Amino acid sequence: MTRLLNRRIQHKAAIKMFVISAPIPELPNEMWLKIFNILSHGDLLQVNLVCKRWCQLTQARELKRKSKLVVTKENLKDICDLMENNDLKYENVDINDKRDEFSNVGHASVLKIFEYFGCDIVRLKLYKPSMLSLLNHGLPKLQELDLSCMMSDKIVPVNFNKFSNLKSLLLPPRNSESYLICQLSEHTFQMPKIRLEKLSLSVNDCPLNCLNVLATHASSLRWLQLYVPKGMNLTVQGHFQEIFRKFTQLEELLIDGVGNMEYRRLILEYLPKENPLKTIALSLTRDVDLVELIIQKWRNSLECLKLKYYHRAENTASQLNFMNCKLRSLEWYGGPLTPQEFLDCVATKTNQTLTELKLFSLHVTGEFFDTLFQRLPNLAKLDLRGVRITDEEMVYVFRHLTHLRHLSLDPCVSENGIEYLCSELHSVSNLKRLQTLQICLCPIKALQILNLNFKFKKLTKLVPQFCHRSGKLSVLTIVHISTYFPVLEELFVDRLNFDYADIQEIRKHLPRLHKLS
Amino acid sequence: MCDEMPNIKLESSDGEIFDVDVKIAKCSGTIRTMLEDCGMEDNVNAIVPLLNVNSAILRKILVWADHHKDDPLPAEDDENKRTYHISLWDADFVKVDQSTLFDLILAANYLDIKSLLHVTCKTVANMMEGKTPEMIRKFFNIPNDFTPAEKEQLGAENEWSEEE
Repeated sequence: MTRLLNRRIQHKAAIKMFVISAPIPELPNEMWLKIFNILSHGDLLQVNLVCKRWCQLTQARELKRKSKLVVTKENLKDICDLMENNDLKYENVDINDKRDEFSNVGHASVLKIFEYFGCDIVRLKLYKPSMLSLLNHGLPKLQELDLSCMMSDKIVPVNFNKFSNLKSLLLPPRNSESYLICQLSEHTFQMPKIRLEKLSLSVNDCPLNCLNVLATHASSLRWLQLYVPKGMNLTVQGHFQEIFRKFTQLEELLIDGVGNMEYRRLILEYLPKENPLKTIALSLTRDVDLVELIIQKWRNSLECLKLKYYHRAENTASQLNFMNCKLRSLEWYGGPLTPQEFLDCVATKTNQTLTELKLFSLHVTGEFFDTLFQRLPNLAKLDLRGVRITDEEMVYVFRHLTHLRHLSLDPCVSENGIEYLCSELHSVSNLKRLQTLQICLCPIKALQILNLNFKFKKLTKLVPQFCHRSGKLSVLTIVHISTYFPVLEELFVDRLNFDYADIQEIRKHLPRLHKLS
Repeated sequence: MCDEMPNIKLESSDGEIFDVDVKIAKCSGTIRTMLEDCGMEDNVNAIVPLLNVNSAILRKILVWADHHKDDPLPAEDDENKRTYHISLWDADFVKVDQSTLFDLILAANYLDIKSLLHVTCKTVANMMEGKTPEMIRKFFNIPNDFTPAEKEQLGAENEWSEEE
């Protein structure tokens, strides 16, 4: 019997070989590149491991643009070793010593990496001021420098002026040690040849320096993030007005970090309406009428609005109507509206334009929930954290919002048994396009009970949560649900500690996982 | 311009002649340029030789072109937008075996039919989505030519690289 089986297998193998020898048409590299270009980063990393030819192809500049090299204490030595024999090329580099600071040897290694491919680097993110010394080693192509996560420490003076291609500079926000920002912004100011298009800046103890920086780049900036602490008393109001009058090209304005009411108003009043503003992020207290001003001035260009209300003002918002704008994305924290008023603002009738909605602590439930989402048929991103979710709402989302690519919900507060969710008609598997998902385990457990042979083929980021019904999460639960998430890259689990064996076990079931916390 | 579009003749690599409505033929950028640059448009008897496309593939491509003949020409910058939607008809059209699909890609590229090139490339990309390297090799019949050491090295590099 065994022999017979063997012969059969041999026979099968022979047939297979015959099939293989039939010519498979080849595609030229150029076409493969075109195909690879459509793939996600995670899929591209797999292509890299298929064969030598493809591995070489994926080194192409246009594809590498999608990935960045993250240098950490753990991989520093490996990168240096690999660099010796291989042609490593990255345009985008993160020197991530956020948690583990590099030793002296480490510093030397980072320096070596920079000497090796510093001339390719276009985008760079640094975390520790001690790394600023790297900037004094030629980075001729540098266009974007991100220091937004930099923590205060001793500062190494940097001459930004030699980065003649610099377009984007993100300085650290509200830093207690303003020395850092002063130093940096003083140097930023000394950049006669550079015209920044993107700038993140915190106006701190040295407002004049900061305002000078703003004034220098006002006419070229397309993207501006500004922090002004609440207690900040700028005695230079006139100067402030003058600067904002000079803006002409601004597309994104993020001033939710401007704590001072008068300055918010100054900015929005003096900024000429000729600026093609697409995105505005704003915090509001008693100045809720600013939203009306925004709509009045930028109704034709505005696509994305992020509002945080910190004050319960009355009735002012009922006159808002976002249906007149081309609003694509809306973030709404708190706010003075009742669900009905919100509905009147956002979707008096079907709103096809809005594709992203983030609602925080607005209690849309029951009928309002259904009506609201019925009128937003094209939603691709929905974040309802802070909104009470029961089975009824979940079922509605799974059944009707099948275009969703990103979904974040708080753990449900359902009283039903899990059977309520166990129907193919309204299973979470209807959301085939999901890329990120934050949700309690209930709907995933329902998938298991339904025994569906289903996989989220695009889902790379998962934040499973537990609710009173689903019970606590364990490593075993993760292993059990892993079958639904074959391309998962990032997994965030609250209140669960992993030991080495756990991590190995999880990685065995989720081969693409590279972030677990 | 007269109401009725004239026909032109296309010749496949294996010598078959296709009588085609000019409007349909012009879905191809290559043919469009040939006609316009060489002044063949008025010449009813002209035969356009397509040296890189065989009759089976050309026949299929003409079905595509006929279905899409009234589509607006895509704007130049559309090419980079990846969230291109594939219609049901298109998805059905590219349900063919792998070698035909590859031939369609080559032909779409040669004939410069951007929409077809995009749909066919996207179809191949969809086939690779979510697969492990081993599954991809099996699917496209690609031998693994890495030594274990090389494989390990690459795996390491993958771990350092993140999406932007």
